[in-house]
Amino acid sequence: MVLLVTSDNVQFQVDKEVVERSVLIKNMLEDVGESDQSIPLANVSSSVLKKVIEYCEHHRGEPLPSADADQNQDETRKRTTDISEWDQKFITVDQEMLFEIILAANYLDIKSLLDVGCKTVANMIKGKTPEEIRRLFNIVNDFTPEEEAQIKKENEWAEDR
Amino acid sequence: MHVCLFPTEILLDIFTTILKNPRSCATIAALARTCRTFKEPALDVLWHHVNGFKPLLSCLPEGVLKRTREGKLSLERPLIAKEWTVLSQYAHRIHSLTISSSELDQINDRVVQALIHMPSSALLPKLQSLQWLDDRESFFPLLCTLLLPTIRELTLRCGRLGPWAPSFATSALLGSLAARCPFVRLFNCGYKGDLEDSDAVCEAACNWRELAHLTTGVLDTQALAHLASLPSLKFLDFRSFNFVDDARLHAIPTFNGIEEVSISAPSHSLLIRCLKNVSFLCCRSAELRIDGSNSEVPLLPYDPMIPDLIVSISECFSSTLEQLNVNTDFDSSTLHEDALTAARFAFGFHAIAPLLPFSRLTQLSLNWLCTSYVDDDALKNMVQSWPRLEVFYFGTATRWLVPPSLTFIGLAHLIQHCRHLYRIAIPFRAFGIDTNSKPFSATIPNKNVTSLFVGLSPIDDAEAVACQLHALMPNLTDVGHWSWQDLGQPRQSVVAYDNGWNRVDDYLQVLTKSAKMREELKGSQKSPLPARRL
Repeated sequence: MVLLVTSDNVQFQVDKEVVERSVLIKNMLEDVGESDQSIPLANVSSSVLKKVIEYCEHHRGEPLPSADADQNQDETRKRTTDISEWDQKFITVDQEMLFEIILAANYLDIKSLLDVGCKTVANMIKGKTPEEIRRLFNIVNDFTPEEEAQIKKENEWAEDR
Repeated sequence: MHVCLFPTEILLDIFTTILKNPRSCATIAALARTCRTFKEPALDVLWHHVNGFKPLLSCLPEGVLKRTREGKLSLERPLIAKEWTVLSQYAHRIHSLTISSSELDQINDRVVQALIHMPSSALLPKLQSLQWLDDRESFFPLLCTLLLPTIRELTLRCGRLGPWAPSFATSALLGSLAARCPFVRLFNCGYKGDLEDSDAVCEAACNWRELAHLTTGVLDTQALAHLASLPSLKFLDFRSFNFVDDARLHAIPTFNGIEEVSISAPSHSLLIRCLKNVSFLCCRSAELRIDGSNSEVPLLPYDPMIPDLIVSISECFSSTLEQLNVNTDFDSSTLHEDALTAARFAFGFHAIAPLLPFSRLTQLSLNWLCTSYVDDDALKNMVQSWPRLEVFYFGTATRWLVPPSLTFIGLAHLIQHCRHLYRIAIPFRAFGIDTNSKPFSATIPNKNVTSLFVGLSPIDDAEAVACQLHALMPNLTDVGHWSWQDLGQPRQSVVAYDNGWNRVDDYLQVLTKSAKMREELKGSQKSPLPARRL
C-alpha cells in the first residue's frame, strides 16, 4: 500500500498496483525504493484524488502506454473522440471538477485519464463559434475587432474543412 | 476562465483531439479567435498539416492574390518584405505538407516563381513530412525548395500510388535526395523502369542511416547490403528485377531487425533468385508478388519452379514469420481450359512441406496454387504445424478444374486444429459423410468463422453439406464460390456445382436463423418468472 497526502491534508491508502497508473508516482516509488514514507501531492485536492483513484481502480491491470510509445501510437490514442461507457459515466461531472481532473491527470502523468478529459472538452467545443466557446468557458475576449478579423481572414481556408 | 485552460500542452492535446474529427478545421479556426491564450496553440494545430499552397497564399493581403481567366491562383506583383513576414508566420507552423497534381494545377507560374525565390533560406523551415504526388519536371524547382534536412518522411509518387516515370531530371533529383534530406526515416517512392533507372534511388538509400520504412522500386545488391546493416529499418518494400551476384559482397544481406517485407518480381525465377540472395531473420510479415508488368512473356499461375520458390521462401525467412502472402498477378481469363484441367499443374503435400516450420503463422495465402493433390492427411499435417492460423487462403484464386483431393474430413481437421480461424478459402469435395465418425465427432464448432470460399468445389447433396458446415461453423451464413458465368465456356459439372452451392446458401440462412431462435427461446426460458403475489 502507498500513502498519498493531498493539498488539503487528507491521507489516502492506495494499492501500489493502482497508484502506479500514475507515471509520476511510479517513478517516485522507484526512486525512493521500499519505504513507508507518504507521498505529498501538493497540486491535487482530496475530492479530485478520490475521483482519480476511482478511475485507476477501475482500469487496474490494463496495459499502460509504454514509455517509448511512438508517435503513431500517440496519434491513434487521440484519433477518436469516442469514450467508453464507463469512462463517459465517470467523467460526467461539473465543469470545475472536469478541469481539476484534467489538471491532476496532467500533473500525475496518467495519459489515459488525460485523454478522457481532453476528449470530453473536445466534444464540448466541437462545432462552436468563438462567442459560444467564450460563453461556455467564461472567457474574456481580449482581441480587438481588427485583430479578430485579421485572424479570421488569414485562416478563412479552414472554414469549409 | 479556469486555470486548466492555460497550459499549452493541455490546449494542444484538446485541440489535436478536435482536429482528428472530420470537418473540424473551422472549430480550430474559431478557437484561434476566442482569446490570446488559445490563439498560438490553435494555429499550431491548424497549420500542422496542410494540403497544397492555397492556405499559405490566402494569408496575403487583398489585391495581391488574383485568379486568372483559367481559374488559377496568380500574383498581381512580386511580394514585399511585409507580406513575406505574414507568410513566414504561418509557414513556420507547417510540419507536414501534401501536394497533389490538382493542387499544383491551381497555381500559375508567377506563384511558383515567387515561392522558389522567397527571401528566407527555406519556404517551410520546419517541414518534417512531405507527400509530393506529381512527377511533372516543371515543378521540380518548387519541390527542391521543400527538400530540407528537417524532412523525416518523404513520399514521391504520381497520384496516391503511381510510380514516377524515369527521366534524366527525375534521376538527378533522386540522386540529390540523400544530401538534401540526410535524416529521412520514411521514404516512399515508386519508380518505373529497371535496375539502371533505379541507380539514383539505390544511391540515396545507401546514404540514409536512419531509415525505418522504405517503399521503392528496384534495389541492387549494394543497396540491400546497406539496408541490412541498418538497425532502424522495420519495413521494406522493393522490386527485384534482375538480381545480380555482386562479387563485392562477402555474404548475402541478412536483415536482423526488419518486421515486414514486401517483394515483387516479374517472374518466379527472378523472385527465387532474390530470395536466395537475402535473408530475413526476424521478419513477421512477408508479402511476395509475381507481377508481369515488365515481362514480355504472359504470366501464368503454374510453373515447374514453384516448389523451388516454396523452398527459397522457407530458407529466406525464419520461424518468426506470422503472415505469408504469395500472390501472382495474372489474368485467369486468358488460361485455356486444357491448362485448368491439366493434372500436372497440381501440387501436393511435398511442395508445401518446406513451410511447416513456420509454426507462428496466423495468415497464409497460397491462393493462386493448384492444390488439388493435397489430401486430408496432408492438410491435417499442415494445420497441426500452424495452430495459430486465423486466415487461410489455399488454392481457390484460379478456376482450377482439377478435382480437389480434400474432403469434408480435411475441413474438419482445419477447424479442429486451428481454433483462431475466422476466414477460409479452400477447395474440397463436399460430399456427405458420417458426422458421427472422427474427426467430426471430436471437433468443437468454431463460431469465429464467418467467411468460407470454396472456389470450384464439387458438391452432391446441398442440404447435407449445409448441415455439416453449420455443425462446424455455426455463424457461417453463406459460402463464396466461383459461378459458371466466371468461366469462359460453361461446363455441365460446374453449372451443377454452382446450383448446389447456391442451395447451400439458402439452407445456411434457414439453419442460422433457427439456431438464433432456439438461443432466444432458451434465454427467455432461463429468465426468472415474475414472483406471484399471494
